[in-house]
Amino acid sequence: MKIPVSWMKDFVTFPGSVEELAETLTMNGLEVEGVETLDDGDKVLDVSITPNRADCLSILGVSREVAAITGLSLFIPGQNGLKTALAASGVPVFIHSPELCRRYIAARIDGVRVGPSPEWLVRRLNACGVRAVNNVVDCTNYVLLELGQPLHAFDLGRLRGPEIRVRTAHPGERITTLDGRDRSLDPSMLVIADASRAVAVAGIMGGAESEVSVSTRSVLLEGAWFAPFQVRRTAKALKLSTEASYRFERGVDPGGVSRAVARAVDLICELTGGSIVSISDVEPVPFEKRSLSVRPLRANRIIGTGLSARDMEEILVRIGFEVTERGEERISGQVPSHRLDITEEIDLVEEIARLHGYGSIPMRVPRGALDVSGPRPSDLPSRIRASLTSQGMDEIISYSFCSPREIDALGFSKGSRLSNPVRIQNPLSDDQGLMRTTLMTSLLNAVAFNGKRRNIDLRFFEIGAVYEAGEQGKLPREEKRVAGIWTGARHPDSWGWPRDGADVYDIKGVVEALLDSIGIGPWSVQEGTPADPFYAPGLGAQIVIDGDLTIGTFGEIDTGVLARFDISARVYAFDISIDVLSAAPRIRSQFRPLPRFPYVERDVAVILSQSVRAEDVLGELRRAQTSLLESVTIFDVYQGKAIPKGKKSLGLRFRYRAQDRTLTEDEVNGIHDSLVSNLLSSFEGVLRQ
Amino acid sequence: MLERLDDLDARALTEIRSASSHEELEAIRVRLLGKKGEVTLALKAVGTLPQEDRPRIGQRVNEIRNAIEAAIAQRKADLPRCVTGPSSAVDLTLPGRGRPIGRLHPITQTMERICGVFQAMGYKIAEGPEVELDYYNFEALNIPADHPARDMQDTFYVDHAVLLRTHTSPIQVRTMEKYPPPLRIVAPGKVYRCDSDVTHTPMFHQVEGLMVEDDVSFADLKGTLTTFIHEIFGTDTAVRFRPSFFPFTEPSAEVDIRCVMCRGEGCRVCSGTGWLEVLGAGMVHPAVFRHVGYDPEHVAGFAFGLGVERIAMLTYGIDDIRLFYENDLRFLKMF
Repeated sequence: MKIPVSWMKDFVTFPGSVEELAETLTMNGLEVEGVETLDDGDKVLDVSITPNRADCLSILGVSREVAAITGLSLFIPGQNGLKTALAASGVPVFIHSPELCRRYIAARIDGVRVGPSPEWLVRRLNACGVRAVNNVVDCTNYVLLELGQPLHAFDLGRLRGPEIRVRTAHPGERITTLDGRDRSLDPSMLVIADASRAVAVAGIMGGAESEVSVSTRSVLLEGAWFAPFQVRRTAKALKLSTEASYRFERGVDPGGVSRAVARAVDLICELTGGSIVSISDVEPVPFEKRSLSVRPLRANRIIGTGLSARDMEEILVRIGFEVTERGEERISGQVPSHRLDITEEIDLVEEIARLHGYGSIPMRVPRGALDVSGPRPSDLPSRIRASLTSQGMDEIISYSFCSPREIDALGFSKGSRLSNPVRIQNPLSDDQGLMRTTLMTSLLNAVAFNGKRRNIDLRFFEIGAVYEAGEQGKLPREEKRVAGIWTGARHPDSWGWPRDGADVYDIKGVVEALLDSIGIGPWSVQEGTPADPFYAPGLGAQIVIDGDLTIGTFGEIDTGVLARFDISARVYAFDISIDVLSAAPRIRSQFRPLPRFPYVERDVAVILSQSVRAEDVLGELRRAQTSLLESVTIFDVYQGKAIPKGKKSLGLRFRYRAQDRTLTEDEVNGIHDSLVSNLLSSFEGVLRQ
Repeated sequence: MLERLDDLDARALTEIRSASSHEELEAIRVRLLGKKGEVTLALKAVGTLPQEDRPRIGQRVNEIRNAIEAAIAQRKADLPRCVTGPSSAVDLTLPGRGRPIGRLHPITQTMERICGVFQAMGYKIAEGPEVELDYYNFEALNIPADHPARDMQDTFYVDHAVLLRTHTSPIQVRTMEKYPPPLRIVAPGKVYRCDSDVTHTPMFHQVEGLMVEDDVSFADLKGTLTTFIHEIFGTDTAVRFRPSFFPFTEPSAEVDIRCVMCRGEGCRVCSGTGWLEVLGAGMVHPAVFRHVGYDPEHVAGFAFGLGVERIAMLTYGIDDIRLFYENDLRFLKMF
C-alpha cells in the first residue's frame, strides 16, 4: 500500500521525520518496505499490510494506526455522514442475497460534466500508483485509497429500470467487464443487476455497458458491503483481482460505508458540477459491533509481562476499543467496526503486546520438562551421510520434480512403480510437472550438468523422497531413498595413484562399506532378476537381505539411457530404500574373545569357467563346515594370456586357525587339500600351475 | 692420585650434564675419553704405579670411565635430536597420496547447525510428509479455504485435497496429534511454492520449531530465539522482534538481525534497511490447539520457522539461491 506522506497529513500530524515515521510503523506491525521521493519532493511510504489488517488498506487506516501507536489525535473527513434525506423517488434497490450483501447505498447525482480531474487529485492518485480516468471514476478511486471503501459509479442513463438488484448470477449469464473481457458467470457469483441484466460483478468490477463516459449526465454511485469469502471465491473463479476485490475479500469497515459515500458525493458534485438528487440505503441486517473481553492475568501469562489492567485498558482504548466494564478480572467492551480481525480474546492480547512494544517484553529462558518421550526419527540418514562422505562422495540436493520425458528416458515401462508419478496441477513448467519417482533422474541430471562444465570425475549421492501416486484426495506413497553415482576416475588425480577409470566394483565397494557401517547384513547380490531398467543388460543387480528382502540395486547405467541424458561417460550407480533399511534387522555389535594362537595361510589359484560366480565359490567353502577355516579372500582375478578362453583364474587365500592350539603343517595341509579338491570337482576347475 | 681422580669424576659429570649441544658433548667426550683424553691417560698411568696400588686405582679409573660413558649416553638422549638435512630418497614436500573427502551439501550442513542448537536445548527432531493434505497445511493451522492468508503462499496442488506442503508447519499439527504436551520439537524439511527467481526457488528448506508447556510466554520465545541467533551469527548480533501476522500464531512476530554484511550501514543484501528478516514466530494460536485436541486454557506454546537457504546464504555469502540446486561440483567443494 502506497501512502503519500502529504496525504496522510490530512488525518494526523506526525511530529518526527519520515524515517522515524517509517520506523514507528515497522516496529508496530506495518512494515515499511521502502520510501520513495516524488518529483515534487513528497515522500511515499510503501507499507506492507498483512492479510489480517484490511483496516490499514487506506490513508485513513494507516493514519489511524499512527494515532493509535503514538496517541496523536486523528481527523476523519466525511464524519457528518449523508446530508441528503432519503428521497422516496430514489433508485429502487433490492437485495436478494442479504447474507452476501449486508448494505447497499445508491446515490444519484445528476447534472455531471465528465472530464479530466484537477491536477492535485491526479497527483495523489498517481502517487498511489493509480491511473487517472475521468473526474467521476477518479473520485471513487480517490475515496477508495483515502478511506478504504471501494465504490462504483454507473452511468444511470444506461441502467434499465432504472433499478438495482443484488442477486446471484443466472446460469449462463454473461457480462463484459470494464477491462473489455467477456466473462461467463454462474450462480455461485454475486452480481449487481439492473432490471434485465448483470451490470457489475459485485465487489470486483463494473460492466462496460454502464461505464461512465464523457456523455454521462447522471451517475448512480454505489457504496456497499459484500461478504469477504463471496468476493474472494468469485475473484478466484474469474481470475480477476482488483483494488476493490482485494479490500472486500479482506474485510471493509461496515461502519464506514455511508461515510465514504458522503465523501465521494461531495467530491463528485464539487468536481463535476453535479448535484445529489436521492440516496437509497438498504441494510437488511444492521451491523452490530462485537462485544469481547480480555483477562489481564491471561494476557500477562501469554506475553510474559506484568502489565496492570489499567495499562491494558489504556492500550485498548487507543485502538478504538470501547470499554464497557473494567477490572482486574476482565476488561470488556466493543471492538471498533473497522477491526474485523479482532474476534476473540487472543486478538486483544496481541493488540496489547503489539502496542506495548515487542521490544519492551522481557526475555526469559524457558523452563520445561526434561523427558525422552516424543518423536524419534530414524538415525539412518545421518549415518548414511557420514559413511558416504567418508568414502569421498559429495552430497547433492535436487528439486523433487521431474518430467515425463525423464521417466521415459530411464526406460520405465507403463505400470511399473516408477511410472505412476504424482502430477502437479499447476507446475511452473512441464519439466517440473511430476514429483520424481526415482532419485536417478536427479543424479543423471547432475552428471550431465557437470559434464558440460568439464567436471568429469564425480562421486555424488542424494538422500530424498520419491513418490508414487495414490488415490484422489489421499496422500501418495512417499519413500525415503539414497542413491549414488560414480563416474570418471577411480582415484584423485595425483602422482601417487594410477589413472584408472572407476568400474562397477568401485560402486559395489561403496555399497558394501555403507551397509557395513550401518550394521546391515548379511546381504547378497541377486543377478539376473529384473533390477531397475536403467542398468545395462546383465550389469545391474539387486541387493537382498535375508534372502528375500530387496533393499535396492546397483550396477552400470545403460549407455542408451545415458545418451538420453546427454552423457557420454560411463556411470555406475546404486539406489537403496532407506525406509526398507529402517525396517531391516541391524547387527548388534558383540564381543568375541580374541584368538590366542597364530593363523596359517595357504594361497591357491584355480582355473574355473567364467560363468562360475565368486559367491558360489565362497558359499561352497562356507558350507564346508570346518571350524578351522577362518576366512577365504579372493586376492586375484585374472583372464587373458595363459588362461583358456571362457575361463578365469581365481587366486584364493585360505586362512586357518584353531582356538585352542597352534596348528601343525600336516594338519593344515590335510584340510586344505581336501577343501581345494572338493572345490575343483564341484566347479570342474583345475589348479593353475 | 685418588683425590685427583675424585676431582676428575666430579668435574667431568658436571660438565657432561651441563652440555647444551651434541657438538659440545662430543668435545667433552674427546677431552675425557679420546686417545689423549684425561681418563685414557689416567688409565695408561695406572701401569706406572706401584704394584700394590694398581688394582685399587685401576678399578677406580674404570668406575669413572663407566660413569662418564653412562652420563654421556644419558645426556645425548636428553638433548634434542639435531637436524641432519633432508633425505635424498624421500621428498616429504611431495603432495601426499590424497584421499578423496566427500562433502555434505551446504543446505544439509546449515540445517544440521540449526537443529543442533535446538537439540542442545532439548528439542527433538520431528518429520512429516512433503506431499501433504490441505487439512494439515492450511485448515488445522487456522487457514480455512477462502482465507486471504492463502495468498501469502503460492501453492502447488495435486488435487483438491492434496498439495505440496508450503511450509514445515504441518509437522507441528501432526506431532501434537500424536503426542500429548509438553513438547519441544524442531522439524526440518523441504517445502514448495510456485515461485522462481534470484531469491526464490520452487523448492527450498525450512526448519520449524514448537515448544508447548503449561506455562510458556512470548518472553520465553524472545529468550529462545535470541539465544539461537547468537549461536548462529555470534553474540554481538543485534536482534529485534516486530509484530507480524501468521494465522497459526498470535501474537506473531518477525525476527530481524542486524545485517551481517554491512553491520547495519545499509547495503544491497538488506535493501538499505540495515536489518535482515530471518525468522517468523509467535505464540501458538488457540485455534491450532483446539484442532489437535489440546486445551488452550491449560497449555501454551510458541512456534517459529526459518528458511535454511537464507541462513546458508548469509553465513557463506552466497548471492544466488539457484546455485544450491545446480549441484555444480565446484560449488559443492567450497563448503
